[in-house]
Amino acid sequence: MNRRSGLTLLELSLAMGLLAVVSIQIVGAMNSAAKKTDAEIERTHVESQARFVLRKIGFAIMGSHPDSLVPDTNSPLATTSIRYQVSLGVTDGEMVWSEPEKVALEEAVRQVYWSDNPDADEERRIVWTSLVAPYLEGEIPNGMDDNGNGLIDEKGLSFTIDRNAIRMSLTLERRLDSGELQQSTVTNTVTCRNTIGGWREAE
Amino acid sequence: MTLIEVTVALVIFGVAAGMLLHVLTNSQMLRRLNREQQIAASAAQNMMEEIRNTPFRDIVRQHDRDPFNDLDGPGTAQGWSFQVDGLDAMVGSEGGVAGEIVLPLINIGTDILPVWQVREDIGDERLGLPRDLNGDILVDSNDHSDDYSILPVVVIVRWNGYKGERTLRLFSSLTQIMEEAP
Repeated sequence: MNRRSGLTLLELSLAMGLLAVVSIQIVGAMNSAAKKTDAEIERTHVESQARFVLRKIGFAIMGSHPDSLVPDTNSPLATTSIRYQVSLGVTDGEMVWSEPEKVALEEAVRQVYWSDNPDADEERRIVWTSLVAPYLEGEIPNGMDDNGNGLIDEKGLSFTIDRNAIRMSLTLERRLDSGELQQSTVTNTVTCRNTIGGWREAE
Repeated sequence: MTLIEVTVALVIFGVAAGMLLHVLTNSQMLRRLNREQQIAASAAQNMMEEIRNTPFRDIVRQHDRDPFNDLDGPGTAQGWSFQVDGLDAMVGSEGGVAGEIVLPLINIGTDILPVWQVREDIGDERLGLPRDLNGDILVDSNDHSDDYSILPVVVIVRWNGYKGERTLRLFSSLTQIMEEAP
């Protein structure tokens, strides 16, 4: 009997067809998953950065006295900078306060920076983040509270002060390769811990 | 090569691709779970800071379940619950919100006419009760709304997450700072 080995044309076509169908489905699913993952990773990065910066600002301000805060701005007015002095400890029974420090948004370059001795010749600045959105997520400059947070036309970094608490919000944004604008907004509240002993402006 | 061999190869290829997809979706799921956790932790911390910002003697009035004792008029205070943006409250949760503030309070009145008291003798493990709240070294059954010197607080966030119901609890013991002392 003459038995043929290998594939017939029909078998080969069937196998190729199967391979093509399965491959297309798998590649499609993997592409979609990879795109989703990329977008998710990007969003996580931006959000983590926003959280990290607000936590850093929170830790910086936490040791201050509420009377040292400038400007003392309450809702619905927000400010893009905050100046404060932190307690350095007690010497001879007197509380020692630091030189003024400042955290602010530099709108022109969309950066948040920390500085000590602000506005002085020896001012030292450190940029804490870039990518700050011009306005907080959902807000447009129209004299109204568009995002329902009680603030009007607040910028990408905003501070409000209520008694001993400082509420801060930050929106970071990045344009993805797909052209989509990815925004992440984080809000944080800290209370000034050093309220005992009074505060005296450093000379 | 036979059809069976091609089919086996395809199956192996499919299983490998499936495993890769599984890893991708799993990492995506983990990121979502972490994000939920971060939102919940951040909301709980922010609420704890808000409570800390309330004058010590007013914390109970501003964060209890009685809207009629609020400092600036009925219903003006934060109360015992709060909404958490970005998280869905559990189905059937009281008030339909994800955040809850738990204080050492007990209602000795009725549902219609509630009378809330700060008590040391409540058996609430979340708050570390029973314990002395006014510093007299005794655990009694009196109302300590006006003389508590330590106030245990738990901020709870319960939400319906990507993988089911989740809960986060943040505990703190607040005390009066010297400048506020009478």
